[in-house]
Order: sequence, then structure tokens, then C-alpha cells
Amino acid sequence: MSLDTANRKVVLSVKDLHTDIKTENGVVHAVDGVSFDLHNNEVLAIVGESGCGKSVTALSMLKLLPKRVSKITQGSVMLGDLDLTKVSDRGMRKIRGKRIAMIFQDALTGLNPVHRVGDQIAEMILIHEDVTKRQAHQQAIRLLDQVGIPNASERADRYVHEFSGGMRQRAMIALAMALEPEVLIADEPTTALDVTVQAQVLEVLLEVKERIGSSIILITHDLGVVAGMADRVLVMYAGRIIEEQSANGLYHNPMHPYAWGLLNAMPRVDEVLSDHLASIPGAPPSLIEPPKGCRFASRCPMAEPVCEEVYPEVIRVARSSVACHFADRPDWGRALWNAEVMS
Amino acid sequence: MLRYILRRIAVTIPILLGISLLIFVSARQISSPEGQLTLNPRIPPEAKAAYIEALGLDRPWYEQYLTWLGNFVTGDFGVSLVKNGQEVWPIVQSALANTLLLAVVSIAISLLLGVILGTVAAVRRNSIFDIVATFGAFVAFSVPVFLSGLLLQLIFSVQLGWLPTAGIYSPGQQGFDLVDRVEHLVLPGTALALQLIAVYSRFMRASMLEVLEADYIRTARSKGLSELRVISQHGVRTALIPVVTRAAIDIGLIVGGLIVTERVFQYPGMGLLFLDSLFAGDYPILLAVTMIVVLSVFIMNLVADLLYAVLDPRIRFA
Repeated sequence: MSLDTANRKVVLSVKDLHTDIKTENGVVHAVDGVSFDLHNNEVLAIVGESGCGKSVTALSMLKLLPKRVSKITQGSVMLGDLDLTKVSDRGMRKIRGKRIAMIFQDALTGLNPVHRVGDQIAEMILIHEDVTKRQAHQQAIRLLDQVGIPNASERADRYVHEFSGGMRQRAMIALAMALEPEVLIADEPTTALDVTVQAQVLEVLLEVKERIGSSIILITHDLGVVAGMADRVLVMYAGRIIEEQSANGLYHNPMHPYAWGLLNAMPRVDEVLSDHLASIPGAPPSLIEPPKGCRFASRCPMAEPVCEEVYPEVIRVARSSVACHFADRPDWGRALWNAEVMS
Repeated sequence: MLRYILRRIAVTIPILLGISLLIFVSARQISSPEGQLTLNPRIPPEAKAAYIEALGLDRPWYEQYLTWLGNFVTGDFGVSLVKNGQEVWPIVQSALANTLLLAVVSIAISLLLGVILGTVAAVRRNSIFDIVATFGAFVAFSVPVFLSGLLLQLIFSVQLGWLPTAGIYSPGQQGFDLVDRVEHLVLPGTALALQLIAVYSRFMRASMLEVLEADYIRTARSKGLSELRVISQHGVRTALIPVVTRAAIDIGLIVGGLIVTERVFQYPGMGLLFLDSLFAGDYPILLAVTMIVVLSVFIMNLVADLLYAVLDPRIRFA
């Protein structure tokens, strides 16, 4: 896995993206100024706990959030020279599936239960390409075969509930790769799967990436998946990116206290397990009226008065970045977290 | 699948027996076909006795019932007690045909309109259209047919003179005439359809709202499909399943359940026949009507279940 992303072409560039979601309790600033570049053929992971804005970021890029309740208020999503935030609905239809495809968490609910799996893949091919129904169907069978579904020609005529968990997710990947998109967004692709099947599905995903030469945005809260797959990692917290690192760097040298906490909370096989699993005490702040200072301050063991008052500037260190007032004192973080766990 | 159907049929037989017994006993208790003979002084007593004996009305009730049952299971519906000894089956058959025509035509039209209204209301949730459709549905559903039917007659027959008020043919009409038949079908059909459209559109709206939230709708959009295609191919196709099966059940129910509508429009169907034979104590007709109603409810419920399996590949019978 090369970490030399600087020389690679940028495929997708998100700049200062803001997405609001209307709820009964008020407007949630679910994505609040997210920026990142996705390079050619890399796997970029977005990690964070539930509700931190990972999925909303992904759905905003494809403008798949319901218009009734959501709005991109600021920022841009550049796919090549095209700003997707300014593209019409009709224009977006030519992007979706064709240039950016999405793999959702649970294929059992993500694929239509009353249409045959092969037909659902063929449907997309027919919409975007000038082929006959028969050709599209043959193509669907080929794709199912490529993602390792045995007996693909027979399986293509089956319904999604007749597939096992791993096979479903393979079918979902076959659908996403059908038109060889530049970008694959995988939103928790293995969360619904057995651990034993997870690795196989991720393997298929990497194979597909190599075959069609696309880039992957991998959304997950599973740091184990990140370790095995990602080149670079974005850590999101409360609607913002608080740390960006190479996957290796994040594991060996996390900079933000939250990243420390996340890693700390991950049980490891090479360490003796203490009598309870570590966790980060507290809950993320409401994103209806987010605090003006650092959003992690209320849960942070090393927080000082300045953290509550001022949102930390993003500090760039080599190819990494972090938003913390005390990013230069990482050892503190670990010591304080350990003290927290012990107490 | 075949086992499932056979099991369902087996369950129905005791139900049919029980209901026929119940109807027989209550019909014999509350009305008396021989009564009008007894009261009429111009009929000689010997003729009365002969009539009563010929129809077996003097025998114990269980004997009468068992005789009826024996004939019924061999396909003999018997003769009417009051309509000059006419065969029951042709009378019931013609009523059944009339009611089925009304039911099927109304349900087909209601289903089409209900699905369209419900889908649009769900897609444009909380829009003016949705609010008007919701309000209209509650009004249409709440107004009973004896009121809406009379209003329809008042407006379209009495005031405007466009359509006939009652019956299935104009007076003096001989044989079949399509235009005349359809003209007589419009008002009772509309009275029925108003309620059915209300029901189906609400049903479809609820079903569609649920489907629109589903993950596979989002997947369909992420494939780059047009909104029209997402709604029609992935939304309506799935949302339709409970509505269509509901309509199948309705056909079964309506075969026996149009008593008010048929009465208001003097439409010679099963409901009207049921009422007439009930008042006359004509239990051979009453029982035949009841048996057919029970059977049709049963058959259409079975059809609805099978339809469910055809439309939804997730469902299989064990």
C-alpha cells in the first residue's frame, strides 16, 4: 500500500462542505465544514461514532438526502471540473452509478426484495449504456461471477432473500462496480456481516478497486477494517474532521485526544484484556447548537479553558492534520486516557 | 402449495355447515312461508295441507335441515317456497352475476384511481394535494351509501336527468343492451367506488410511505434512475402488494355485503335477494345466498393469500 498520495491525481475534492438537516427539534448541522481530497486509486476511510456525520457526508456528495429535510448550505464537491453541489437533478442521474457508486450497509434491505438480483444490476446498465436487455443481463451475470458468486447465471435470477449475507454484499459490490465508476463509496459495507465473512467481502472490494482502477471512500466505525483496508483515514467528530492521517500513522501516532480514545477503546489481541473494555465517557454534543469551542472538550481528559472557548485551528504536520490546541503534546493524551481507564 | 390449498379447503367445510345450520334455524324461527297461505281465506285447507306436506314444512326442523343439506351437497339447491316453485339456482345465479359485475367494475376502477391518488399523496407528502386527498377520503369514507346513493340519485337522475335511478334495465327493455346496462351501472357503481377509492388511496398512501423510506429506494436513486422510475418500478411495485390483496378480499366481501347499495338502487343482486328471501321466509334461497357468500369470502381470501405469494417472492407456503 503506497502512502505516496501527494503525487497522485485528485479524483474528488470536497471543500468546506456544510449540510443541514431539519428535524422536529431544530436544524442539525450534520456536516459542518468538511474538506478532503480523494486521490486516484486510494482507499480513504472516514471513521467516527454513530451520528458524527460520516454517512451524511457521503450522501451529500451524491445528493441522495431527501430535499424536504436537508440542504447543502455551503461548500463544493469537485468531481474533476464538475461541482456536484451545482449540478441539476438530471445531471446528477448521469453521475450516480456511472461515476460515483455507492455500496450500502445491508444488502438485504438495500436491494429490492421483489426484483431479481440480476435484473437490478441490468437495470442500471440499461439506463446508462446503449445496450440491449440481453447484453445487460449477460453483463450482470459476468459481474456477479467476478465478485465470486458461484453459479452466477442461475443466481442472477434469484431474489436477494435467497442469498446469504456475504453473497448479498458481493451482489451489492457487483452492482456498484458495474459501470466502473471513478469513486466507490462504501458505507459500513461489512457491519451487517459475520466476522468471518467480513474479510472475504473486503478482499473482494479491494480486488474490484484494482480491476476497475477506482478510488474508495470507506465509511466505518470499525478500526479493524480501517487497518486492513485504508491508505488514509479521516477521523470525524460532531460533523467535523478532527484528524487526517495515513492509516499507519493513526495507529502508531494518533494526535487528537479523541483518536487516542478511539484506539484505546478497541480491544486488541496482543494485549492482556483488563477486566473491562475501555470507553470514552460522555456523549457527543448536540449539533443543533454546537459548542463554539472544541466539540470534544466536554469529554476530553486534557481539556483546558481555552478548549471550551475557541475552536482549535487545523494544524498541518507533513501530510497529516489535526484540530487540537494541544496536538504538540500527544503523550499527555495517552497518559490521561490510561489514568481515566484505570480510575 | 397444493397441500396448503387443500388444508384451507378442509377448514372451510365445518364453517359452511355451522353457518348453514345457524341460518336455517333462525330463518325458520323468525319467518314463516306458510303463513301467508294460512291467512288467505280463499285458499282451501286441503291445498294448504298439500303445499305444506309437499315442501316438508310439517316435519321436524332437523329433518328439514338434513333434507336440505343432502340435496345441497349433491348440487340440488331446491325450489323457492314463495316464487311459485321456481328453481333456486337460476334465481341466485342471475343475482350473483349482477352483483359480481357491479363489484368487479367498481373495484377495478377504484383500485386504479386509489393507487394513483395514494401514490401521488405519498410522494408529495403534506402538500396541498395530500391534504385535499386525505380530507376527501375521510369524507367519502364517512358518508354512508344510503345518503351518498340518495344524493347521487337526486343530482344525476332527478335534477339533471342524465342517468336512471334504479334497476338494471329501462322498463320494457327486452334482452341485452350494453348502453342501457352500463347507464344503470353508473350510479350504484359510483356510490360503491366512492368508498372504495377512499379506502384504497389511504391504504396505498400508507404502504407507499413505508416503501419510500426503504433502503432499496435509496439504492435505486444511487443507480442514477429517474425519480419516475424509482417510484414506479421500485416503489409502486412493492407498495401495491397489500393493496391488491385487500381488493381481492373485498370482492369476496362485496358479493354478500352490498345490501344497502342494492336496496337504494333497487339493483337485483345478492343483497336484494337476501333481504327479499329473508322477509318472505324463503329459506332455500336464503341458504343458497348465504352459502355462496361464505364460499366467495373464503375463495377470495385464499386468492388473496396466493396472490400475495405471486407478487411477493419472499413469501412461500409451508
